[in-house]
Amino acid sequence: MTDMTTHLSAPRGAAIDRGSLRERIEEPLMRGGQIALLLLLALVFFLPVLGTLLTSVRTIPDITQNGAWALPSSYEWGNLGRAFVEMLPYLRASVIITLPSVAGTLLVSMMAGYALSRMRFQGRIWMFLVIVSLSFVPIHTQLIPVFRLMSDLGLHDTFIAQIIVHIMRQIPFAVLIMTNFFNTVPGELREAGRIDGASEWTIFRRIYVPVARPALSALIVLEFTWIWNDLLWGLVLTQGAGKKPVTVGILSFEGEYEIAWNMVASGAVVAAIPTLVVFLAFQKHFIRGMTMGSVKG
Amino acid sequence: MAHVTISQVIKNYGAVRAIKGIDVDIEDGEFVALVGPSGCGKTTLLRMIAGLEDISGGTIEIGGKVVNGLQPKARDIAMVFQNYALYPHMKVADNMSFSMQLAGASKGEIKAKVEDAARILNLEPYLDRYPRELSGGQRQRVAMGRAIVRNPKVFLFDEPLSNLDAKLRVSMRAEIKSLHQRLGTTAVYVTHDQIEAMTMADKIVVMSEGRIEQVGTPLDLYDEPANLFVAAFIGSPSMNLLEGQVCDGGVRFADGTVLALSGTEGFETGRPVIAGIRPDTFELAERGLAVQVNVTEPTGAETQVVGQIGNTPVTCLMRERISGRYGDVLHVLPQGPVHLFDPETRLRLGTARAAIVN
Repeated sequence: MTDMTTHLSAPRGAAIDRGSLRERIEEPLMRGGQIALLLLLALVFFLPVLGTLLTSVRTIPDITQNGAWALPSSYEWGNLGRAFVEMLPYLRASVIITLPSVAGTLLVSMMAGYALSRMRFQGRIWMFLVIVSLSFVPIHTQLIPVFRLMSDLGLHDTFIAQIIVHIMRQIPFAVLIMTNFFNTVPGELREAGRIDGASEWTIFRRIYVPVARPALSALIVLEFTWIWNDLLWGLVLTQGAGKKPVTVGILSFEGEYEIAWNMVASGAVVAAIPTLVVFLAFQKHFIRGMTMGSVKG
Repeated sequence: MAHVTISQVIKNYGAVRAIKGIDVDIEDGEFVALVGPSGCGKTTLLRMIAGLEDISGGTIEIGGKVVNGLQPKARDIAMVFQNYALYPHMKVADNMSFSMQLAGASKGEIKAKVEDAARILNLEPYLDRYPRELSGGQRQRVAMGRAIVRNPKVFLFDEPLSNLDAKLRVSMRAEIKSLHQRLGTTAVYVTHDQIEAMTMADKIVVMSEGRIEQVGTPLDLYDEPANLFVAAFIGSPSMNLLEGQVCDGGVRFADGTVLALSGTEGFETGRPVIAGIRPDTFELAERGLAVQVNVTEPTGAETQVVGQIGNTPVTCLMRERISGRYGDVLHVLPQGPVHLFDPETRLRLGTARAAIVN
């Protein structure tokens, strides 16, 4: 008995020694390196935000005298208020464009994802590939054709044109996410629903949509941010001030000969607030949604 | 309650024929187990009864009505899935009553039925919980509750116990059986576990490769297996199958030993046969078949001897406490029936018994 225990403990002790050597030198080094890298990346991403925040509360003479990265000589909080008031019509337009676009994208992508994941029909894989590959078409190749198309349809300078274009642009990604999510939902749920007497629509609405809540939250955050932050379509598809989104509105602070940098920055801060609010509201689900499927259970 | 008649049913997946023309009659109130190795088509057949798979040929009748073209909901069946398939976002009570909600039943009616089912299944304390808050056994019971609430003509079970641990499986087995006896509803139960089939079913349908090998009561299949497949599949440990030839007064095995049998007189001498002997029928003898022991596994009540006769592996289940070691030789004689099979057709030829050796 004693013989056996000593025999057993010897190699185990050696293993601990080797492990502790690594623990003492290698792992702290790796860990320190990782933290340093992450700090650097965080700094790189945070600097523009910091610069915008600082610039937004400075005066133009202050900026021209002390450069873009100096601390404000005086804090002009009124800039933000002024920017908000001037941005109001643009903010209104952005809300009118973004909310239906997000809703439309979600509705179409949920239904398409359900069909592509759960129904068996001819050409299903091809349809999926074609839809998803549309996201690889560069936006720049679409600007002029879409502009012409919308003009011909008499939809130039309308909200509806922007909503349609946003939904069109976002569908490939959203369908990809929803199809892959529904692929992870056990197929027996649909069969149980069929046996319980549910129609296809009822199965979709009362079983699959509620089950998809985490994926939907992630999609809402991403789509809201992307659509809200769009500049190009808002620029191309509008003429008058009333239909321009807030991203385009910020450009109104650019004069012909000079740019009111402090107001541009204030406008950017004001414009960023809604996306921040949406992110915070869905944050818990968002993180769950992004990591979903990586670990089962 | 209803009888189920399956006649000449075929299932094709593209060019592959998964079910090759099956006939089964299930009486009203009967508990039928479909059993077979994986890929034998048992689950496909169940899903065809449920209406989840199209029927490529033949007909399925439930309660005298052909249901081939009917949607699952119109067939008046309830199904319990292997992974339970509970709706994760609904509480237990809603899971159980979803079908009634869809059918537009009144709140009072739903409440009464759900409470009834919950009482039968001891689920009353859990009605307000979500499936994720339940243990495996409780989820299994909710899945059955969902079936009971509908009061269907036929219960369909698709390997409902295979996700449970061994101990729970045994107790749920008894629970399902007693539930069936109390409700008296026709039940079709798919399993790959022949013990489950033996212990629960009134009638067993043994399937392999899309065909039925044999239909009968559990003991029929055990006592008179129709062919080598059923002989090897039913019973645990499984039947020993020894190749030999009919000789004068018995069977001569490949290693030259002769087992004296009565009941082989009808066969011509020299006819090749396969003798099937259940492990538990062996008893120690002075002379007899020589088993070279590989290992002995005592379980207390019995000792399982794993060894070989000639080159054929055999298992003997002995009541004696034998402590044989590798290489020992035991002499045994079968004291029960010796099943004779044709090596060519693999069908049963008859039953013989060991003759008194003199």
